[in-house]
Amino acid sequence: MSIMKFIKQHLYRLLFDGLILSLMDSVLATSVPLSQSLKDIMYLNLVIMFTILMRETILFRRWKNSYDQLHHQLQENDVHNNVPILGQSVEEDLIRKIHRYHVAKSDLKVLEIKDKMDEINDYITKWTHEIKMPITVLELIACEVENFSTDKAKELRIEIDRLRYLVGQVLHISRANSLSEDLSYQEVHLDTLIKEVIKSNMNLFIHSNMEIRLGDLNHEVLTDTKWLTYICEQLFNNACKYGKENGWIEINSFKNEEKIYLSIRDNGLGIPIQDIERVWDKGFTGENGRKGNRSTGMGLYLVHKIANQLGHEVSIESEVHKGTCITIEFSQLVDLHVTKMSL
Amino acid sequence: MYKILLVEDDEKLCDKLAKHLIRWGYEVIKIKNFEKIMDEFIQINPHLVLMDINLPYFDGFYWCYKIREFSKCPILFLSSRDQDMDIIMAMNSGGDDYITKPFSVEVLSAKIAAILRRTYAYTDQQMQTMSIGNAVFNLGDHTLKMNDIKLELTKNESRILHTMLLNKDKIVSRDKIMRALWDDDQFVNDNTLTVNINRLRKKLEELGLKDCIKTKKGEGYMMQ
Repeated sequence: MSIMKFIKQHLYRLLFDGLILSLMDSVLATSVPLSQSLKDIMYLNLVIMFTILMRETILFRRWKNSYDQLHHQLQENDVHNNVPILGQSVEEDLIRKIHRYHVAKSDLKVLEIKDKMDEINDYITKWTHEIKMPITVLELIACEVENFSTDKAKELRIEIDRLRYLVGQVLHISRANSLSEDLSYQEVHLDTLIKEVIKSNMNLFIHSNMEIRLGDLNHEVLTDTKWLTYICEQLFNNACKYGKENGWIEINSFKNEEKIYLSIRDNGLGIPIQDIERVWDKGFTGENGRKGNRSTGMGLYLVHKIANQLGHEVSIESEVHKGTCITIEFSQLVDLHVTKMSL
Repeated sequence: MYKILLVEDDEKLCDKLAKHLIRWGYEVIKIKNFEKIMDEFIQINPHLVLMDINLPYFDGFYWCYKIREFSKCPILFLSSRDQDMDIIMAMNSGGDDYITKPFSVEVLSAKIAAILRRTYAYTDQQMQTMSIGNAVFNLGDHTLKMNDIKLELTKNESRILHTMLLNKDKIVSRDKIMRALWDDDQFVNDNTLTVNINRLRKKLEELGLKDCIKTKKGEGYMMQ
């Protein structure tokens, strides 16, 4: 709170002070017996002005203090923080009331929005379960079709797989927001997990004719099985989608003193250098997405988001026409083993 | 013949599932009255129950508890719910295994076979050895035998032969063979499959079984 503000706010009082002073002076100057002693008038003026200055200084101090405090309080406490505005002045009381009103109003709005979100989320979760029923039936039909037309069965399976993948994505997006409530960390053997994911996405790999190269996956990491499975699924899907004819995908893991790394490398299209910075952005499809591969721009965004929530780092390296390599970094279980041994 | 009881309220799925199970050689009974599942269970006395979780009247967990009160009949849960909690609940209420929808038919058939084998401890000789002409194929140790000649097959070759023999006189697509191999952690691709089939053919030829695997162009293979 500056002195200029203070003067501005109390301008009228000061103006009136000046007015009184000049009125008094003019009366004194015009009254005959006193008019001789001009010095006295000057002196009187000075005394009065000094008194006014003193008054105003004290008032300024108090004004500054109280408003500084208020200002501070308003800045410190965001709207949802219920630490009250201190002080008993009319203004402070008023601000308190306004503040309370707004907090209540926004709380109500938040609740309303939350209710709506929950409703939509609930519906999506139920819907994804419902939709799995016809997908299962389709899967069984594909088996029947295979008996008289292998080509049609293959086509059907490709579409079913795409359906399944998209439904899975819906479910995971609706859950990703409340992900922290849904985590259960376990020691997971990478070899087992990767093989499971490959098997459950068997049609995808078979139909894109991908060669799978499994490296040394004999490491255990601390993670949430379901979400890591989902991450791998997304990455495998990308590798197949942007893969070459007769492409390969190489899955490897290695460890150093601090970390365990899981790398998924393919020899597909690769990502142009200008796009690489933005691949983790929501909805970003980049050049490859525009080439006609139906990209939603959600895959890598979700991978990044989920990995971060799990506490894993993901990084990407890519070169156009050479391929892409995505590495997931896990913290080692060193601490865990120490506690285990001491038990 | 093993009797399988289907507790699934989606008619379409139930029908399709029943059809497949019958094709694999099981006897299938579908629940008609979902209010009185126990009555039907007792009357049928199945070897295996395929149980959905979301059912009218009571859910699958409830019926699982009910069945467990007096029967050790294996129960395999089939559900679209995939939260850990559901799986734990299913196991706690006495389920033997859990498959999430949508499942692949191969996985379902493998699980059913595994549970039946475990529960009824059957050592089906037919499952272990199969005959091709005058030769005997042993699934257990991956060998082909005829008179004094004994040939070792690789894991892949053995799986391929097994799949072909299970579908004798029917066209088997390359896809189907690959899925069978993948189910066994052998993630082969198209080229490798061709190589494997050619090797298998050569081995069969050594036993005088020339041309028993026929190529159906664009469709797959057939064994006669």
